[in-house]
Amino acid sequence: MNCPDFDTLMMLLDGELEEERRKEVSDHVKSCSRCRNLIDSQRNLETSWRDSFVIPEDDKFRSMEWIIYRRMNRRSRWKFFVPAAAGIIAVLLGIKLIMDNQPFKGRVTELLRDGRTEYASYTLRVVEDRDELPASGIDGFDSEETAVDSSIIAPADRIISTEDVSGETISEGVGYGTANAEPLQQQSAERVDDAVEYHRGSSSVNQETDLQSVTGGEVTAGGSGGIGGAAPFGYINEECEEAEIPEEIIFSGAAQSSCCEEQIDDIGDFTLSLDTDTAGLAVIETMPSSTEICEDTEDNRELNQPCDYYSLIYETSDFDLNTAKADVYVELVFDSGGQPDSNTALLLDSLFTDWSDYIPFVYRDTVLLVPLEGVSELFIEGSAVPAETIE
Amino acid sequence: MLLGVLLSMAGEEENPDIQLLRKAKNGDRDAFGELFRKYEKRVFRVARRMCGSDDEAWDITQDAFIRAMQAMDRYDTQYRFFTWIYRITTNLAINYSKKKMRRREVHFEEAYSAEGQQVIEDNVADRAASEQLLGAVSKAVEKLTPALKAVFVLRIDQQLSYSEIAESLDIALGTVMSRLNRARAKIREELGSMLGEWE
Repeated sequence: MNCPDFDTLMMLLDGELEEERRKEVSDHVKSCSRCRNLIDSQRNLETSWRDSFVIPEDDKFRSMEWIIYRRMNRRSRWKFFVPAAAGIIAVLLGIKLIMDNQPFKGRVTELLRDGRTEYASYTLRVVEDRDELPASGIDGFDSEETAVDSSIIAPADRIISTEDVSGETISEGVGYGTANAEPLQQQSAERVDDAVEYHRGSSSVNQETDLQSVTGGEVTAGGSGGIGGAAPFGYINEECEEAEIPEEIIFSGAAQSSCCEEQIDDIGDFTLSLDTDTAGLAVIETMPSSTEICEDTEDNRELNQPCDYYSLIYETSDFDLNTAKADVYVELVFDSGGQPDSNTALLLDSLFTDWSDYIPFVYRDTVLLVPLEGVSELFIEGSAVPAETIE
Repeated sequence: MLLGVLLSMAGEEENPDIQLLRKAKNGDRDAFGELFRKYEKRVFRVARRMCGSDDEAWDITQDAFIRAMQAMDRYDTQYRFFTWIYRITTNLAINYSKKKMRRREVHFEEAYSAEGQQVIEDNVADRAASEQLLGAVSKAVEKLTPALKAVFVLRIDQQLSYSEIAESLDIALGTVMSRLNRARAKIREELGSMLGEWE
């Protein structure tokens, strides 16, 4: 028998030859080194190519499953997408206020602006996000239930469910999260050992009023990680019987922490340092028991409005967001909860395609990080607004 | 007509995937999860093989399942579900490739991951040569036209039979064979003298 053509040899390789023909060709191949080598080389080539594929981690598939399910079962966004001209202008104005600071050179403090709360219940900030912290995205949801129960709206890489942390001890807990609420839900925890908390965005851990002890804790706040009322300060309260202050607290990005004034004196010796590569400022807010006018001093920066707190603002140095090492996001902080109102819906719809997939409800203090590019795009659209409508 | 309906109903009763699909479309979370987990990796693999990046593959995977649920009324139950989801996936990938080609944004360099190369390294004695060859194979596959690539991916990566490929892509058996042969010939042509190292 002469050597079969390449196509026939490949059909033999694929097991697609009729039985009689298969036997005939197979017998030839056994006695023909050229044909055998051809088949072997093709098999090796294809097997290697097939086996080289790396399936992504299962977590990604679970996230995808959740996304698709939500997309197929979501409520119509139009239900709460009620056109409101004033709202549109307010939203665009709020963003324009920020974008007017382009090209973002200068201090981050100059970019911190409150949204027009009379129109929409949100605050916009430009924040820097540490690149070594978990990537943004929706990969982090352990499950839909976790996301909802923990009121986690924004990305979180790993959420420890409330069940996991409502006991007496949290050991070696790692919570990553941009969370509007409490990634670790430590209200009822009595002890936290070696907990490592990474907070990105303006995640916060609040209301740890019952926390009895924090030992060996490490808190790294990335982005504008707020550690309001939480470690390292939050456990300094009346109920706290034992508190070991971390020797060093490092703030990265625009970190913020707050505590009550009368308790700040109780804080022991520790070093407060800033990661100068990424940090823009750190704000230590102290909150007097009574309303005061902010002191206008160099250290206690006035915020140009009557307030019931003053701030110590530690600034590293001016840094240029254009050359910042980390990604830059615009942060939306919702001041009220519930179903997004029409203004909020407009804002979200402009910034975040398919936002309703992820945000069935907005919880109070919900934080969203929106990549700056998205905002820039909106700003371009916003620039089409007639000048006279922009105050 | 009646016979067709009865056959269709019989096919549906025998096909648990269709039952899952129907339940999933009605909001049954468990049914959707079961169906998705059954096919997720296969769909992703095909999508990833057909397009240039993980991101694109995830998009295609997502769209494939959504379209499967949205279009289930048009699903002919005489076919197996996996061939149907393959068809949706390859169509999506082909459309995506065409759009990308129109934009001239084909990135051959993205076609292969370093992680993927690592796997084969362990199995082949001559690591450097195998890496080089594997990279070349991946590039050659990437260069195939979408139609040829779809057949090649379903045959080699998913190990479908010729008839299953025909059903998946809704093409004749002879077309499957001719496309597969052309794909293989083109890949070998691209590899040229490198193939000698394995022959």
